[in-house]
Amino acid sequence: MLSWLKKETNSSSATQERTLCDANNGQCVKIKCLQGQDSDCQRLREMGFSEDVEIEKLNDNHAILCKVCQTKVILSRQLAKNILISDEGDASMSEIKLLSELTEGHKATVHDFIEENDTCARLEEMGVTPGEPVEIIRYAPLGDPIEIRIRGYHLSLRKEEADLIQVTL
Amino acid sequence: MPETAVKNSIQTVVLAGNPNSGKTTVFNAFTKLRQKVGNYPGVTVEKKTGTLALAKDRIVNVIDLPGTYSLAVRSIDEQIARDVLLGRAPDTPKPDVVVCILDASNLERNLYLFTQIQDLKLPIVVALNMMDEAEAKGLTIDVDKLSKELGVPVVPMIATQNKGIEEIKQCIAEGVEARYERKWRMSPDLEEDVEHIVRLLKQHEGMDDNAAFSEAMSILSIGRPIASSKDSIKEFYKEEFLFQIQAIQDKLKKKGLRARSAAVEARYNWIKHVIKQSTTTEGDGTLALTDRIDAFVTHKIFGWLFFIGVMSIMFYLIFSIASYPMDLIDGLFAALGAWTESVMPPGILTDLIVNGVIAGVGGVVIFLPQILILFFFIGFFQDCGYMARAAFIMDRLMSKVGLHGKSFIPLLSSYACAIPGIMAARTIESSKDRLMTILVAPMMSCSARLPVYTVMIAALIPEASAWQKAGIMLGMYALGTAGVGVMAWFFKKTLLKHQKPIFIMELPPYRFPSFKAIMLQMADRSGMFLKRAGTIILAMSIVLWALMSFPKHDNLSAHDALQKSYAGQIGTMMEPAIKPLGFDWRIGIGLVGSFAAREVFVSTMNIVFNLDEEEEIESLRDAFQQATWPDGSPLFTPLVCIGIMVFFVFALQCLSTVAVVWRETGGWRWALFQLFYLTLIAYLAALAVYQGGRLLGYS
Repeated sequence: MLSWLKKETNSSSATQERTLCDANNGQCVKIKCLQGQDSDCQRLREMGFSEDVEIEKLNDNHAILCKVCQTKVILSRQLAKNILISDEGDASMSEIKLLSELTEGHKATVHDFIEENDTCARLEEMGVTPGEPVEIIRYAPLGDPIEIRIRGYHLSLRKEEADLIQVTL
Repeated sequence: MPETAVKNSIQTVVLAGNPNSGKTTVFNAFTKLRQKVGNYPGVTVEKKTGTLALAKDRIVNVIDLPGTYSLAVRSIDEQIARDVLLGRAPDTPKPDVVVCILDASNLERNLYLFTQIQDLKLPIVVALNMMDEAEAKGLTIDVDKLSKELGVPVVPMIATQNKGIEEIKQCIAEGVEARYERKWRMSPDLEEDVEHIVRLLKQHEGMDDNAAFSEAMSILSIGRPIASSKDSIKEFYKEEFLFQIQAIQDKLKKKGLRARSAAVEARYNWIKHVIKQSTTTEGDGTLALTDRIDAFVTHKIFGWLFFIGVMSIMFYLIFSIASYPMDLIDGLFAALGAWTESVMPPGILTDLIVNGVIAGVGGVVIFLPQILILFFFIGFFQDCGYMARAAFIMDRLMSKVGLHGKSFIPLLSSYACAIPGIMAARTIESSKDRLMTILVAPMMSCSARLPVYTVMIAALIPEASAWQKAGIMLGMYALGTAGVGVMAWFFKKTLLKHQKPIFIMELPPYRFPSFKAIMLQMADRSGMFLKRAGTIILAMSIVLWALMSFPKHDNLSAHDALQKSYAGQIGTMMEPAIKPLGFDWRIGIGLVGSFAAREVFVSTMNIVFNLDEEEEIESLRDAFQQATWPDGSPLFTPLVCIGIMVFFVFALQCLSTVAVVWRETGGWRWALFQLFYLTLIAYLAALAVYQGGRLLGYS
């Protein structure tokens, strides 16, 4: 929470334009405008990156993985620099983390899944659905799996699976 | 009069519910001892059926569905549950009433499955089980309100205390109507699209409302029709229909709607509403005792100590307590054999009965006490909730080689005997994880290898101290265990790699187990063991006996007669193949014989080396030392002795195991594959020992 706030003040004090490259992983942002060559902007718009659209940055390795209009898109850093953003995400300004990043005793709310596969479907059916409070009860003695409480019962899942679940604190 | 018509029409009652909801207890209370356990045709899912006496002269069938969290058809269990409910499972009648068992202390998640069953528009009665636990958790449930909200009769129940059983029987006997209107709703857009597909299905495929809705949800959410879990939707429907569906799916995607999540969330939203209307909570809804026990048994240090302690006690009991009834059974069969020999005239028939039937069957039945004790513990751990905790702390270690956390009990059990171990693998829900556990389990050195190790160690170091013996023995156990790790890892990388390991497991609250249920399970398992493994062992014992006894050469010594027998001929034929291991035809006979059961190796060696079976192992050791190749060089060199032991570590020389794997995996393919790969490893390992040792200059 704090680290994020710091970043926010930094950027506003510098009055520097932030691009998608500067957003944190898991952060929801709004597109302010597109810059750069017309042909690039045109391509971005075709893929749904237009002004005032909310996007969520999922991952930042070599290229950038983000979610726009509920579909996942991978962008080169070059293209991502064309996207200017403001931090007005929909996730009510709270920080998005992976469930596996929380420690014992932490409470959070399920935000979303980063992938769509059978494991996530299984988790959803077991009651791990967006908006549901979740608590980390404990880690197993060897650090994996994790015991969580959801909908009033206890569930054990491996870190791999917890890596698929985004939560807000 | 119409009422009686309803009454008499009920013939089949199906029990459905989540795992850990007390389904088995209800099933036992319904059926008492009138139950039987089998398999659904063609799959490895256990089928439990029985009869229920609703009144004196009204007997109905009861089917216990596998415990599932969902009917989404992602596992075989779910597929079977769905097929039975829809009346599509082979050899299974369509249910007239579904008893949906819900854990009252965990109502929210339990109701999810209920909403799915309700969508199938079957007559449902809810058994609201574990009311005592809900109370302990501070939950008060207004049963009437719940019944009204759900739209079905609800019977509160504490199945472990037999409370509510009579009431629900009466409820079933009175007859239940299937009145249902779907109450959970997705966003209007989605609902519209679903309706559109339903219309199309009704028009093109002539489905009724009910089937069309389920089908539409299935197509939209998992992209395939219900009828098939593998084939794509394309093989089922006409092109124009597919085209329209594609258009709808594209539209949904554009809007950012995911039908699957939307349906799950809609169901849970409705459940939240139902619970809000019917339930009040005092306190924080946790179970203090369970939390305290968990803090201990999953503790970083005490958790391990407790686990090791519990496992040690279990295995100590398996080996110590079981030895008394085992000796007794052994004695009984020996006495039976002696008695038969004394009353029957000597001849082929007597020989067949004594050395074939009695010795062969006795050799299997002797393991029954170990199996009973093991299944007592497995049942106890499973029912009280410790199994899930043990899997929780062990999972990291097991996952390193790609095994499931729940694999450790089957694998540990295999130290006693692979058969209960393989049967214990049923506790693993994922079929691939279960298959992998079954494939590697026989490498854990079982108690049947003990006599072989003992004999070979005595031949290897005649004057070995107890510590040396124990050291070599431990080495063999370690070798097998390492083999399990390596092969599990190998299978995960090759054969079974497509399966992404899913480990999502509920940790149920601790409960006092029902001993009746455990006893029933022990009876089931041992009955199965005796019946299946017993028949095959019986047949093979007779075959082996015949191979070693025919053709008859009455005028020859036992040794020469054996060499001329079919078994001897096989051994001689095998010699070129096993010579690179340093084995001759006599060891070959022992190996052939031991494919029925490992201990047979020792008795075969006894016969082969022309000894009376009554004599002690020391004499066999002397015989081993005197045994030579035709050129006079000693046969049982240290390398050969070690080679034999290593061969026995890996080889799957146990017909009962093959038979059980055959049964548990639902076909011969995996059983034969396992037999083949383990024999191959055994051969290569023994080859490596002998040839490698010779290269290094040992003899």
